[in-house]
Amino acid sequence: MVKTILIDSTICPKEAVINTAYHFLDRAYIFLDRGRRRQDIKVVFDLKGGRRVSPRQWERLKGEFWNTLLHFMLRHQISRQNKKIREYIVRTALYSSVAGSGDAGVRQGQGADYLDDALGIRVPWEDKHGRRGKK
Amino acid sequence: MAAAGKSKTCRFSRRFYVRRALEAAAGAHAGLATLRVLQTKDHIIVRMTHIRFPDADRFVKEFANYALGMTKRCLASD
Repeated sequence: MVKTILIDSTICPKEAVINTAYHFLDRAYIFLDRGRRRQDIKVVFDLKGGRRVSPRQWERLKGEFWNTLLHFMLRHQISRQNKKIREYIVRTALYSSVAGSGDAGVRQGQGADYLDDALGIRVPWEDKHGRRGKK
Repeated sequence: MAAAGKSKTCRFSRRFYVRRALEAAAGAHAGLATLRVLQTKDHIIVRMTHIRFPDADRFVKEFANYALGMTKRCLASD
């Protein structure tokens, strides 16, 4: 049973429509195409199993589709708003993981061996904790 | 098999579908048919020949679903 939904792409971004269609892939065969107007997106539904759908069931499915579309529109909007900060966080995390251990790490990688102790780890027990008295 | 040797042509709008995704879908379905991906200015055309699947129409629909899934993944990774 083939049904069609038309979406205005000036209101809903393409990415949100694709994500919504993906969400319904387990229930229907879905095909995306252009509508008659240039800005329209035509979503063609063909329910799996070839079962007939009553008008009420179709209305319910359509309502679920609109709700899911709204959900993905919001996610898309938030993702766009937070793009810069997200990139900044990832850049900082990546940069600090390289630069933080960088100095010693790079030096160690360039022919220095562990006996050089670039990080100052090699401290004798006695120097660190003091000598214990003999029993 | 009854439907062996059947051919279908499917046209996907380039506004929604990505060629990379359709090629991946074609690769995944290569065992069930001979698939060829072509491209025009507005569309990506998939020519399916020698479909070795009982229901050729269903094969096309499954292919379209798979292509949509791959397109979503391609867009997410870009």
